[in-house]
Amino acid sequence: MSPNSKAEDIEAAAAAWFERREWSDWGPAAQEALEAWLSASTAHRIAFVRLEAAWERAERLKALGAGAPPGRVPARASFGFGEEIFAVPQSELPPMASAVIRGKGWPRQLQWVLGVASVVAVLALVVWYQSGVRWQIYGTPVGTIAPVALADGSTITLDSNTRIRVDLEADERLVRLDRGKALFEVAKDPTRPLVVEVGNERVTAVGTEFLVQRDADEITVLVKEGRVRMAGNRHLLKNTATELAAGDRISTHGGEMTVERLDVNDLERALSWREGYLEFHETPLREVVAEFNRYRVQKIEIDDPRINSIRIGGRFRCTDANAFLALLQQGFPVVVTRDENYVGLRRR
Amino acid sequence: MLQGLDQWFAMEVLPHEGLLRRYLLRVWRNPSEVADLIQEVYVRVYERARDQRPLKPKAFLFATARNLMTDELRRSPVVSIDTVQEIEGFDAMVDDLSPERRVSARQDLGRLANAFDLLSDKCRDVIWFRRVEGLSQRETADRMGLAEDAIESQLARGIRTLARAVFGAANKRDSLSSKARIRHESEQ
Repeated sequence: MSPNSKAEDIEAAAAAWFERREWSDWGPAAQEALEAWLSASTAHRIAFVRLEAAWERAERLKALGAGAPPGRVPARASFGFGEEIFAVPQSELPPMASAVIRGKGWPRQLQWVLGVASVVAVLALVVWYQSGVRWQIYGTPVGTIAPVALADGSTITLDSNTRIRVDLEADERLVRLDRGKALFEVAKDPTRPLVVEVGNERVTAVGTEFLVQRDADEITVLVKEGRVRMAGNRHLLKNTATELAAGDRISTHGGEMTVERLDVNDLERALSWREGYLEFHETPLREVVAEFNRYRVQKIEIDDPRINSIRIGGRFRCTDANAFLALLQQGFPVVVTRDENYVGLRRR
Repeated sequence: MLQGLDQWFAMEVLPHEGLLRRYLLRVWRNPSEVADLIQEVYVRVYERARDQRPLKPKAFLFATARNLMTDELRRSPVVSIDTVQEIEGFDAMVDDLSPERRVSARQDLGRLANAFDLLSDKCRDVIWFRRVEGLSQRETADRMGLAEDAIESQLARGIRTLARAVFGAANKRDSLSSKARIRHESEQ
């Protein structure tokens, strides 16, 4: 056997083609030569496809560059994927330099005491006076998705079990997200930005489309179009505002902040609930169940942690968890147990 | 963008490369032949899928690997009994190893980041500017203050390393050395 195996020689040749194709002097003759090489053997083609696929997948490296200044390559070992997720004192943090940042935890947000059922109808509107602020309150019950058209031309789509408060009278258009998930399509008005307050964070937009989600102490912001600014006096990166661009998703949870950049497909999936669908791609079962549970009064429980990380892909109606459960039983070693007030998943 | 059969292959077959490699390393007597075996398995799977895509790509991939090894063993003058047993013993395990032992997206990114950090300085810079910042080969050279041919072969070298990380790197949790444990679990 040669020191290099045949496969390695082919891979090296494929890599050379892969690179040469990117050079500025690439022309039709070279393209023809590449095509000849590719069709000379299936092994050639596969080696090339494999590198192309790896290149596509390597797009995830962009997540490491989210927020970093362009034109500079980050230092080695600065991404925090060593043995453990690294912890850095807040003062040493450049804004968004890493994919995961751990700061100190913050105290639990004071829950608003809103008294009685403001959310009973499909879409309830309540006017609420609180220290002179005239809030309009909109909400959806579990299992309902509904759009809200605001007087300024903006549209807010509320996911299941969501409550927002709106005040359009002040200098800025103010929306508070008390719980749940909402997609904001903001009518452009540079003089009066729209601010979403969620927990301790303030998300500011002029005219753009973005999603804000709040589940207990976890807050997620995802930008669909345009840019938004995220800041707050208890924002993890104190005294710094974070600029988010289309595809950026920030989640904060218990003092930990994760920044990632989604590609077009992931973005579409993350917003598919608007059309009443949940879409997954290699999503852990744990998260899939949590998503379905948003639309259910009777929650699905996972009784066996070993199945938590089964990966799920597919598109399902938000409100039709049963179709999903049926498929799950067929395709995976999982059994669904039900009685009147319980639905649980176990490993078979 | 990959399309059709190529895309199917990238989505359904390549992600199992790491597991396939470890399987072959474990059961095949000569580790230096494993890269060629993988290539041959890929060729068989790809050509077969051209006529009809298998419904269970992963099972089909491993069945193809087993058939290939059987063919190879038949041709070889001496067959070790161990080898044959190992190859056959794997059948029951393929489905059991997946999908819950697949790494999380975050681990994937970590693997990619670590592979990226292993590249030489020049190679690392080229990959960053090309892949993350989306510069062309020429713009990348400009940014690095070099002529285009001074960064020759960096991209080629980098993509090979990254491909290995993306598709083939070790994942402790689905390591085949945990065979005993897996069997034990499935007996419960």
